Amino acid sequence: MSEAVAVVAKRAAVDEVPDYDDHVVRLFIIASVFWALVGMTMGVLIAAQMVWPQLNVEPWFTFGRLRPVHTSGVVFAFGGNAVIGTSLYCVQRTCRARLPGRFAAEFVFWGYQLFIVLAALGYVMGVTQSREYAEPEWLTDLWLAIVWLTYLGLFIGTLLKRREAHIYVANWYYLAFIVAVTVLHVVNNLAVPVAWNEADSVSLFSGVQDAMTQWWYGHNAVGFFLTAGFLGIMYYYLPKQADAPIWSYRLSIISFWSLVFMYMWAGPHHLHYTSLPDWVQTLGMTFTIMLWMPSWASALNGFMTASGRWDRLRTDPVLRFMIVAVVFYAVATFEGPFMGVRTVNGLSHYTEWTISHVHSGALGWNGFIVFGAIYYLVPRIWGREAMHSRAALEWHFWLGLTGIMLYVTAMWGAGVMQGLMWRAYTSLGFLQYSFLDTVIAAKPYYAMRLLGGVLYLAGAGVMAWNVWRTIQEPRPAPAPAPVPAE
Amino acid sequence: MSLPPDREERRGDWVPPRPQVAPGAPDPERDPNSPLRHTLPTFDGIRELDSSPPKVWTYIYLLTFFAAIWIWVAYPAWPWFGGATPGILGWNSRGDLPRAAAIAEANAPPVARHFAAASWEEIEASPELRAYGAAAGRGLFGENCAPCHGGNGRGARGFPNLADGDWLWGGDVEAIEQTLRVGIRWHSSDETRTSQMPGFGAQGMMDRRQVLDMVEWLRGSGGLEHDAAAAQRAGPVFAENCASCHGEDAKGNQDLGAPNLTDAISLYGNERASLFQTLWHGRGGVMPAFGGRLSDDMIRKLVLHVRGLGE
Repeated sequence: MSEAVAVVAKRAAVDEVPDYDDHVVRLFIIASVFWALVGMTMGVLIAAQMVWPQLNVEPWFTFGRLRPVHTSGVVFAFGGNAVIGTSLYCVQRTCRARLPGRFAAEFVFWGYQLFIVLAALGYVMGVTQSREYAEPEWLTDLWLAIVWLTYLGLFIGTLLKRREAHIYVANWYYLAFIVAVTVLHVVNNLAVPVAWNEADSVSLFSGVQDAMTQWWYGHNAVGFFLTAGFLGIMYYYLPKQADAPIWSYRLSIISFWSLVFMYMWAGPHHLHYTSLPDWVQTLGMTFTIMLWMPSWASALNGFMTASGRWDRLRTDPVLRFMIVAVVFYAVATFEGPFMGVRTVNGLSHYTEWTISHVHSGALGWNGFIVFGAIYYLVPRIWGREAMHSRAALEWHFWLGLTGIMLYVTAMWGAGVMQGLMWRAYTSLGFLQYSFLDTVIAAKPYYAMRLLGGVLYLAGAGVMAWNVWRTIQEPRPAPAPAPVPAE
Repeated sequence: MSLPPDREERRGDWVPPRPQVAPGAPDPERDPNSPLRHTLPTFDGIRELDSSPPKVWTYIYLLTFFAAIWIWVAYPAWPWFGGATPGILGWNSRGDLPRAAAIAEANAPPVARHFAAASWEEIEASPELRAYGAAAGRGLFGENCAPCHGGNGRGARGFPNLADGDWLWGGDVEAIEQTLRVGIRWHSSDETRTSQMPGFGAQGMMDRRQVLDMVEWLRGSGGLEHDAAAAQRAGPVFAENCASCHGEDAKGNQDLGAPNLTDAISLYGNERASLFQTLWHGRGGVMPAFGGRLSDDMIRKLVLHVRGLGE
């Protein structure tokens, strides 16, 4: 008798669904939607400044100060909140364990928002250490380090509490994202403050080592923040939305270890034809080339996971967001290794082609996979049956996709044109065009890019409205509780 | 979705049961490449198949490794004691520059060598040399001059129009060459062209009434609408304060960079407010010295381009 009770109790302990902490996930999703609007508005504004330079209002609202507000706003505020929020949802469910600490989770949320606000205010007021994607000064950096380590503790704590034998692959990617960003953030921001009560600091690195450190950080911000973290989203939310098994466990693991091992080496391809020694450039270039197939491994895994469900692309805009995201991931991770080759880089570097490449990844891959995950999550974490408006989903999708296509093709055209103009010679052996000629020639493309950005922002606005209305809807009546048998 | 009966089994090689497939229907989860289907338990309902990577994927991945190894062998790549491996092709970017420069030198047209050796007199006498120099100067102008003077050299407020034939410091080749070489009021050139339009009002040399009269005089001199009585009153003021630089006839003096005041061309604009500003506070625009930044040869090419802008 007591033996039977023990067995039942054991079964219950295993199968019981824990009371997951979705409160903090809701906070992160709201923050992500909010910062999407802020960050993309900044992007539209600085795109407009490229068309109408008069819009540079000195000193706070010049291009130079608003550009980091845009990049940090979309990468760290919109993307960062989305990755953290989706990771906390995913890790609880795939481990069948609740987050270890309620206070810690809230601290990560509010601490991260404080970091974003401090960073953005600093940028417009001219407080910057001028390190790309790491502009905040030392005090803000220290604060982020504390918040980030708490997030790491929260995530690992959940993994340790797990009631599954294995750690699901999405959590591997999320964990790589958290660990690598810790290392990158700390090393890149090693600096000596000029005084304890001054915002300014002096970097520990100088000269070409400094440049290399910055691009080691910069490229791995792409590799671990915008790739590993977002692949974590893909590996959980895509199979959930497609209701299909992951196509290849093996491929996901090959992709994981290849990306983790090789991304760290690829930074020097941002410094081709500079005073960085040739051998560092060569190594960076070769690891960039070898990154092509591991990136495609995850893209392939995404496609094949959805294969057999292609008919749903017609009817399920959420799955369509995710699949189009994977398409752009594949496009950007092919273009990247190509541009990382030294001779190709000679044409593409310093041109708008780079901007095109970044935005096909950022708008197409990062943006769309997050939109897909948000649309998956919002009805579930607020306990609604579906998103408020299906038509709004379609509007968001097509506005977004049109925006991306305009943006990417405009900047690609402008970039290749600039690269070719800069190297055009006359019959007498002189440069045919001055830099100014290429700026004037690029202006129509800047206008086209602005239009693309406006459409993409409009799509995000539709999403914000739809999310808001979904939250406002009344909860569906709970299903009647089953009557316990006597 | 079915769950395993016990946690202990979950740790082992438990495989979730296959989904029901209608007899004769193709198994949606069948992977012809892999006999293994379900290597792991489900995670929140997600199952994992274990398909092998497509062969073409594997081959391309290997190919990129071979490409990388070849590049390491061919080019400077791995750090080692006493310097990195040099690569069997012997290429490095430091050696690339003189090589590229030598090729450009060898391919330069004969006129380039003639130009470098020619004096101004020879250049002026040869249409070919003049055309060559002006063509070469165009690119230099775009990189060095256009940010202030505009791509077409037509200038902007405070930045002289180089295409109107009205020269502040002289328009012959030697004068333009000198201006380019030493700049105007340029702090780091000892020979720079200096002169100063004083702030007649701010320095107490004219009172407010006189400055306002002088504004009318200037507009009249340029043939613009003006108050003739006021301009009349300003006549003696001009003779006393302005004529020493701008000349009794007000036609300016290129030795001093003093502009011609009779041609309605005004660097800072002809509106009354701007003229008042000029007279009250003075002006002192700056042009950088390009001697040292550009070679003498480049400066001569720029001179030819600049002089030709108005043609």
